[in-house]
Amino acid sequence: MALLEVYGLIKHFGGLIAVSDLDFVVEKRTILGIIGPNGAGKTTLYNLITGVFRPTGGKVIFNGEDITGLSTHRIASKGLVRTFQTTNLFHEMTVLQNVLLAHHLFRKSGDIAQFFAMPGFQGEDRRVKKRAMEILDNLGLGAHKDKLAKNLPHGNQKVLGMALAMAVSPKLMLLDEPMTGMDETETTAMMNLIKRVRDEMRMTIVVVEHDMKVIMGLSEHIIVLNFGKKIAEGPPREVTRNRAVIEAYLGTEEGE
Amino acid sequence: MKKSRLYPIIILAAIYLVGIPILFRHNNYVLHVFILCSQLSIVALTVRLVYTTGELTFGQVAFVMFGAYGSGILAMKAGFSFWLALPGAGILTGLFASLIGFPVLRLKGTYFAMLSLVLAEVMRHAVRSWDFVGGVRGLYDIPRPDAIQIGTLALIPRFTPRDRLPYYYLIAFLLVITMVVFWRLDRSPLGRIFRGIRQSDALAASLGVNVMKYKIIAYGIGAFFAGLVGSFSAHYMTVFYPESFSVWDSIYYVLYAFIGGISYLWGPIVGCFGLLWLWEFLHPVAQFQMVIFAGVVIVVILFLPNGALSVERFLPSWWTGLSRILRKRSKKLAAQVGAMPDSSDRKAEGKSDGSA
Repeated sequence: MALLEVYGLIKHFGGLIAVSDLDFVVEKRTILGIIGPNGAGKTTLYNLITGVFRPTGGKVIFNGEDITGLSTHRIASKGLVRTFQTTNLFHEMTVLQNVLLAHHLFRKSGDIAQFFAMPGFQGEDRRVKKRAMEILDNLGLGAHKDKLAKNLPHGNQKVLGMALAMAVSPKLMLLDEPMTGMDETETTAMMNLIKRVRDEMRMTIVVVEHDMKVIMGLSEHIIVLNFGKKIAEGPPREVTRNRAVIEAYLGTEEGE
Repeated sequence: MKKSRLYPIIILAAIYLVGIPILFRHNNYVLHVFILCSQLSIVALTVRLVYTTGELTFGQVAFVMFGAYGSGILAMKAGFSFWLALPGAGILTGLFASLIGFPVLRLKGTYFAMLSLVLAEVMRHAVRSWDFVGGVRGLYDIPRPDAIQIGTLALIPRFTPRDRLPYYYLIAFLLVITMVVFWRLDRSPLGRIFRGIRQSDALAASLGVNVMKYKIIAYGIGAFFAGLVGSFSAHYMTVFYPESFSVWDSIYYVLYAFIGGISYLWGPIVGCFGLLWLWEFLHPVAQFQMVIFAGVVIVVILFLPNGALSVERFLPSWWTGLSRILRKRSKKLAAQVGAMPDSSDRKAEGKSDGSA
């Protein structure tokens, strides 16, 4: 069953066509990889799906519901969460505070109840704290909970970014280059983590990556973008043999 | 950012509400300066509240003005008692800020700062040409707060021009309330959301935080308290005119907050009391008053760029030791009273240890 459906998605920035007539479907509980050279429109695509940009045309259907043009926080509340390419954390907060803040949607009590610390709020606060620690322990960040996010090593910062997304308990996670700047062991660990999240938390995941090897090892299905267009689609093995892909992908990489 | 605690608020509030009136109750000059300090501190605190969401506002004077005019109109044209006009003006100002917040808060950073400044000036010019509220001459003969009695028991005494003590109590009480509200905001999940928006609004939105809503909440609460100050000052001075609310006031509010240390809950109060009293102490050296005042401001900015309160980093160890003892005491006390949640993780652990 399809969780996310994208139909005829178009985005123009003035004269520049960032995404043109894109169609794809993400099946439930799969990992979809999106690759493409720099400037292929991958991050723009995420921004369109999560409501940061309003598409020029086309439709985004999530869980059977049209979410085109909704605001980012509404889309998040429906269970669609993204991570960011440049490490994006609440840098001046501790690791634990980061995850506590990410439980915003998990809290049921209203703002006023929270302000006055009404009885129901206190129990909820304990539950939130417990759950946040579970997530951190599960990802191996438990020992770092009192460190400021900005003082974490790069690899751990990326994992914390995942933890924030997981705290929302989304149905679909969009990961934007989760392995940039990581060495090989860190990359392998991250790949295993992503698979584990999919299996244990029954999540659907879309990964945008630069690195062919990573995306091949991770995804069940791959979409190749170039200049905002889908130039190939299929299981990893098929895609690597595709002529257009080799030309577009390797061609530009040599040119860089 | 360190979490601030409730006990300093309680101790200093007690000193401020009891100690100072005992010492200075017949000295109208000292009381007047303290009244100014309280008023300006509240507004500087609202600057800080808006700043926790990441925006620097140079337009708080607009809300003080709105509160003053709102209260003046309510009391003089609609015949409200001061005790209704005061909260009424605050609520009106808060609502007004929430309304203009929708378009205004779409801007960020420098653009927001500039717009907030311009907006304050535009509003001042608007009331200048509005005859209903006195135009350029403003409002005068604003009634003083009325006494409230039950039978012969005076709940609230008469406010007279000669005795400033009732005014002192009233605004000091408002300052304490403001402080407690902002303290609670700081440590409730709301405060964490505000800080999160400042550090990365894109990330907060992607985690489901309605960024606009929380910015408006901060802006509106800030305006509410600024409006209260406006109302108080209208009935304290009994006269005001559009020129009473110039852009200079807004700049000073920001200055107080930054000199004290805008990342500290106490920063705006420290900055405001410090600078105002410095100004008063410099009266004897009249011609150098402004020079020395500016010199102190520059020295603080140079050596303590994070505000006067950032000296805490350089304090000797005996001080930190002492404050740790105090903190433990207060924690014990808090545990007995039935503490607020979110105040510390360790406390919850300690409790469960005790029961097991």
